[in-house]
Amino acid sequence: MIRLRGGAAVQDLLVERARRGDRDAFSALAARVVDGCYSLAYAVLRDADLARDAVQAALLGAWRDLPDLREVEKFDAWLHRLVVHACYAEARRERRWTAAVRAFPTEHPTLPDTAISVADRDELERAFRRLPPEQRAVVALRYYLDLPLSEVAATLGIPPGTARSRLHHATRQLRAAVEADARPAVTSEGRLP
Amino acid sequence: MNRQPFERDLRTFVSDVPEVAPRDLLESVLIELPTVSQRRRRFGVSRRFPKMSMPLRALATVAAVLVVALAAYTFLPKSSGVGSNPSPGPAASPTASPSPVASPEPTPTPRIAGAITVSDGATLDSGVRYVAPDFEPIFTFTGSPKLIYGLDGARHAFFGATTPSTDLGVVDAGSAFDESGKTIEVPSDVAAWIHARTDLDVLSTTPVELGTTSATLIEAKVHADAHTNAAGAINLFCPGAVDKCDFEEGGSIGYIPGNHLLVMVAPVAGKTVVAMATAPETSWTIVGGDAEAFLRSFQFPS
Repeated sequence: MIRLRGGAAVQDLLVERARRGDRDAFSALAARVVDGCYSLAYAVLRDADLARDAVQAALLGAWRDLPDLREVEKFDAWLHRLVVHACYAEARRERRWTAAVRAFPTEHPTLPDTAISVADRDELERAFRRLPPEQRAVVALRYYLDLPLSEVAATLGIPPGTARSRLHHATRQLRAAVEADARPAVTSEGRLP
Repeated sequence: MNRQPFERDLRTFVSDVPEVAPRDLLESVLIELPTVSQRRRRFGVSRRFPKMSMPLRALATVAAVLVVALAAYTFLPKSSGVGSNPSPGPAASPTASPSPVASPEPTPTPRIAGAITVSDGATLDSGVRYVAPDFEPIFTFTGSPKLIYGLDGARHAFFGATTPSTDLGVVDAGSAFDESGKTIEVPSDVAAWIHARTDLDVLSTTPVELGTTSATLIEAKVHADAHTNAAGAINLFCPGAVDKCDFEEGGSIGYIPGNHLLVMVAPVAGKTVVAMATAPETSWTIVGGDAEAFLRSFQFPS
């Protein structure tokens, strides 16, 4: 998660300096936010290589466009949007080059085990990857960054109703996938459970 | 599966992400940075163009030209010729100024002999002796590589290191925050108070001599399950009084769970001056030594 330190003073200072073209300040800023950006990109793309490329594009875009950022204190939300848009681009690029069904990742990220079952997790993973990136982004901002829907909408630059609708469709599909997986029969999409 | 467990599972699933970026990601960004030019700052009217119809866009263009022409006629000196000097206004150059040379100049009249009064936003030069312009009690310190200085009133100063990321701050403590985030009076024995906290793992406690001032340097790590504010950090000290400080707002630098931190407590002239530094565990081996040297360079002239 992209988090500010206790007071935002140091980050604001770095943003202000970077906005004026100070590469050292931007380097410091990038060092601060790169982990959070990567986590967010991974939450949307569920792929280490794509997330890496998305973050690289987002950070270079941030440097290029920083002079356009009017309110320094909104840097985090602004950067979230750049990361999400870079994720859209990566997802589109990937869709052009890979088959519809991708190899399932062999390693899970460094997460302590949770109550969620392996079967549910795998089904969620497959269903999540089938969602359009726009819906994945809403889910990631809502449930990973824990943003209220109004902030999700503001971050993505979409009306709140659209954010709500995307979240609704996404959760409905994900829930359906998990529930279908829980049933013993073959799923409606003809996949093996 | 009912709604609540599903949302919980979805939250767990979505949060199942790496918390640390690949090591070479930042490096690859910084390598490419010099090849990317910053945009000129755009003005509001140009942002609106894509949504405007062609006639409106043309009208806006004509209006903008007229406004600029009128402003130029009104404000430019009438004797201004083609070869006159450009205005030394604050507009940013579109080309980046990559070196610390761009830092604001130090104030010419120092507060204390032999030390440069550092300006807000200045990048410090390594090895140079500085004094903060307003901080009370007065102290001097030695610049550390790529530290940027920021002043926040007479009771708080902060420093941000460039790569790797480090936060440093100095505060004339007026209050403190307990483990639950409640604002309290500054404890009489700050070192013992820090030792007793269950959200910090104290790694070492070292007495240090800062000129004639005896201080205590404590190295610790923030527990992963520490109670944090909405920004995900714990705060320890605030320059303001108890009724003026808020855990959510923070009073100085904050500490993120898992991060390393140094706290140097110095009783000076009846005040509790606390100098702090923090960085992620992954970069502490690189920046920890510099941070400690920086804190140890503090001097409080009598």
